[in-house]
Amino acid sequence: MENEKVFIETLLNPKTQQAAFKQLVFQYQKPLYNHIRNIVLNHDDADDVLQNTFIKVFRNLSKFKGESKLFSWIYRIATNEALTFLQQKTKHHHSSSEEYLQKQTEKLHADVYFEGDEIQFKLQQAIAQLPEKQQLVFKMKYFEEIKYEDLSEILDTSVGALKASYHHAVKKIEEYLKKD
Amino acid sequence: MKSFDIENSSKIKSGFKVPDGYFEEFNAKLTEQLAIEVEPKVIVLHSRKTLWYFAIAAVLLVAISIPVYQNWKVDTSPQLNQDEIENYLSYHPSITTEDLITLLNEEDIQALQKSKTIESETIENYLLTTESLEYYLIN
Repeated sequence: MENEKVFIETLLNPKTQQAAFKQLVFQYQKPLYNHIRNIVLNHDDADDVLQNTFIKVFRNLSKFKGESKLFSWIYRIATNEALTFLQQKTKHHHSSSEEYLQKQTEKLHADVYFEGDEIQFKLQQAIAQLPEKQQLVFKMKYFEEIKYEDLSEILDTSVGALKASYHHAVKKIEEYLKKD
Repeated sequence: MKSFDIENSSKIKSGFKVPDGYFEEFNAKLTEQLAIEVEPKVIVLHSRKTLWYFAIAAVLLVAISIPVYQNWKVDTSPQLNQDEIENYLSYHPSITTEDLITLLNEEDIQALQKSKTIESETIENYLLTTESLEYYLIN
């Protein structure tokens, strides 16, 4: 925590900001890419959203007051960017975000940047059947293994509601996978 | 129908792959973007557009200042002097002697009496040359 405080100070100091931000990008680029890719599914889209996320983080550094963890704050920005991206796509395709993600999931078989086997593909299909919020909670908990307390800060939702959401998601996925 | 326990089975990964060298490329691209963010914005003073704005502003300034200058000239012209007023009143047909008398107050009349002392010779000449003399003498 003390280390984070010092790091934030270097991020806010104009003299040390650039070097500190490079360090931040190095530290977060891989987990944030995975987080965004899990939401938007396609690599090119994840690339765009990741870039927008870091630019937004940079522009808003001065507004970060340290009320939440730096990690949660950055993940919140990334999640919002990814969800906004999905909203724009669904508007363009005149569909719901679930319908859009189901179509994107069907395209994964032909995606050169998806190397999943049959069970991995099946799991992606099962997730795509869930409501948007349950998809998000399941992906962040199951694939990214983010703690409920951190999830609560990122998604601004109570731990109890998140646990319930995850539980429902797991049940529906198990049901879907049992079908074959 | 097989039972499937997702939490107690071995972990299933997402299956997503990152292109080779992606993060190196991403870093270079992001650094470029951030350089644009940090760079202060330069305002070009001598662009064609700006020159046009200056030209239009100059024309407007001249157009507005001409009537202002004209009015200024009228306002600052020398005050009318006493003779000019007198001449105007003497030769202006619409102003009669009666009009002038009504404008005179007691002090003005006394001042006129003091300044205009008429010689008896002048009165005599006037009476001799005036046609109504006989009428005055009889009455």
